[in-house]
Amino acid sequence: MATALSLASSIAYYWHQPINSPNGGTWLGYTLGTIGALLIVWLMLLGVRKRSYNSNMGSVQGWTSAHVYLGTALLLIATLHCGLQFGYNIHTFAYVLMVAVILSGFFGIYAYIRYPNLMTSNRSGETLDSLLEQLQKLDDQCVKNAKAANLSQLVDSAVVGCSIGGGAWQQLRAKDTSSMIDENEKKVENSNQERIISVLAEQLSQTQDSERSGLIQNLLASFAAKQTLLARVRRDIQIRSILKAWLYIHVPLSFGLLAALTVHIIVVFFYW
Amino acid sequence: MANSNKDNFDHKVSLEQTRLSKRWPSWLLFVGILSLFLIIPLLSLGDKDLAKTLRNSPLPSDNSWISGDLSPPHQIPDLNKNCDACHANGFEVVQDTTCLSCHAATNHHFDINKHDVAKLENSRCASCHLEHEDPLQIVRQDDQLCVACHNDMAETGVANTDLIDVDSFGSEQKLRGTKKPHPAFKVSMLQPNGLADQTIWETVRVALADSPKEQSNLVFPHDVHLAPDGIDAPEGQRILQCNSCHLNDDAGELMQPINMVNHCSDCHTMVFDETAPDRVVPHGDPDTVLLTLEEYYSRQFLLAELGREPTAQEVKDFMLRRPGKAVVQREQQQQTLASPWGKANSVAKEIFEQTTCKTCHETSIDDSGKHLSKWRVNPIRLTTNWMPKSDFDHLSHKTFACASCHNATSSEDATDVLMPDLASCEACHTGSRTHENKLPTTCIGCHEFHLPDQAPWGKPTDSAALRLNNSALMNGSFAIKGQHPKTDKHLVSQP
Repeated sequence: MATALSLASSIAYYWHQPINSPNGGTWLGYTLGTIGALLIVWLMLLGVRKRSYNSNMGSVQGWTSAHVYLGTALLLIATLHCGLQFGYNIHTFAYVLMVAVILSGFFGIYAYIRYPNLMTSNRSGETLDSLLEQLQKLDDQCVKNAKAANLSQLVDSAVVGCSIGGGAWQQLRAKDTSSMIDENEKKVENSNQERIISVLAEQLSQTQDSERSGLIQNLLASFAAKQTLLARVRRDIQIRSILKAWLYIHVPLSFGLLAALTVHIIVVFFYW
Repeated sequence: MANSNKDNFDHKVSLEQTRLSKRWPSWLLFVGILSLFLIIPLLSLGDKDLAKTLRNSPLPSDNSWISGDLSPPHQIPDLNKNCDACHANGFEVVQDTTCLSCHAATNHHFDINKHDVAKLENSRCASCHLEHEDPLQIVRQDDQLCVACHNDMAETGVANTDLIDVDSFGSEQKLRGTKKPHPAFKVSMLQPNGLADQTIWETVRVALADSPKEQSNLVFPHDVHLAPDGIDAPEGQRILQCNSCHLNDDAGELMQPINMVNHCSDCHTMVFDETAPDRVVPHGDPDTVLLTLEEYYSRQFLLAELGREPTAQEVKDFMLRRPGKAVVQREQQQQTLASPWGKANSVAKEIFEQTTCKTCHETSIDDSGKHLSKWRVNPIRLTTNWMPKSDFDHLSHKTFACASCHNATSSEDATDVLMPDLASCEACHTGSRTHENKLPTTCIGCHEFHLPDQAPWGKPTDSAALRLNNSALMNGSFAIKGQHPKTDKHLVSQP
């Protein structure tokens, strides 16, 4: 349908011979403009359809697929509608917003093609919750072993200071801002748990006591496992945030576009 | 998903948990754009001063609605960015009355009282004159404007017309198989009717293919004047070019009228007595010519008879012709009169019938006694606008030799019509849908839409238009016998 619409618009545009140059005020301009405006409204209704769980107007999957194809066709239809006439005005502003919305949508398509596979392979059959549960268990073990090894202050601070996720930027960058309190009671970076591991390794080298040595070795093994787990968790959070982040641009810009489109339509007929 | 774990960790692991939101930016953009670009400009229109202030500031105003610049002629302070100067009422197309408030002198394309052409009568000024478009071109250039009606005049609603249907120009017929090519050229030519003194000049339309002959009463061989070796002139051989006589008018379209003083008198001196090369007869009225001759030869006679200037008493005696004086004196008077009279008449006969006047003019004899001179010079009217139904810009063609269109060098007679035919134009120009290494040219390239011989634009029902129409008719500024008023202005010139 989108292809047919695009083809029909292109053929009509090629065949049409307007006075002067092509523009939105010819019969074809009005036709393409009407189609474009209706498309924009329909494309925005996807948000409503997604929330209407009892709707029987086609599946959300079908709607989303049509959303992608018709959204792409809209780029062509609106460009033909304006006849490539641009300026510093509300009309071109509406066009720019529309292009920004469609391009952010393209990024969404790209993200949904690329990241789900990466997410699956990163999780290796686990879920984020199960990964977080494993982390919790490791932390519990660490706290317990640390108490026994009399290293609670160091280890607890590393457990507490372990950063997962965070603000939008941190999630997207998968940035590790973990910290801990060191032997001198100073707050220090503990990115990728490297600091606590090196502190524990040092403690191990200084320990003669075989029982304590065993506890510290357990701690080291736990933090090493945590290191691997954390990398996967951060990657998972990163991928999930990327999969959603574009919508925070796509949706508000769509509403901006709806406003600009409303102004565009009212104004062209107000100053006919 | 068990959020409990995430909560236990007190970590934000999804974007929903961050400060990012879709809702408030959406509202902000929606309400912001609607307010800035619609509500504020709309509200400001209620107060002219506020609207003006907003327009002249970076604040949002209805200027953000301008979809494109005005065409250069309309970029004047009263109109430019002053939207409501033309868009008087909201949700209403720009009205013709608004355009006509400045362009009152715009004429119709045809006589709307005679023809019922729905296509045009339902048109507004802005149907053709599009503003805010790119390119900034207020005058329609496409030939659809013309061809849509002129390809079938009967269907258009103009039944009785001499106009020939046309749907194409130049190579379009050959390359695109169009059926109605541009008709061959006709010229509008002046034709004298009636006696020399009561000549009525009428314009006739003649096809160039019918080899029309101009009857201007002028005797003028172009070939002699354009001889490559030059022409005999008082100062010797003089080589003339076309522009020695033919110069563009100020508009660059037509040629300035030819006249005796500027273009002929350098060589054609009008000397009538070889012994007096500084004496000439005046150009113009034959009576004055004869009078000049009589006066000149009277003086010559007196000088010859007396050998001196006559005294004041002699002149007084001669003029008074006192009664009772001797008959001898009367005979002397008759002799005195007859000799210069005869000489003046014989010289007049020569210059009117053989030399000076006759070189350029058709002359005739009028024995009715109404005039001092029985010799009459037939009036000359030169056609200066041969093709009044089209506009030709000589200036834009100045890089071409005149001879490429006007074959003057081999023209032996002033009756030759030296206007180029359609093929001359089509050698360089072609229709807009073809190129063939020629200049694509639409109808408007040569023809006007608003014709000066038509009534002011406006529907017949428009009282203002009717009033203008009637006053123009009463002033006689309209066509008589189908004559183009532009023609009236340019067509006739008297050397």
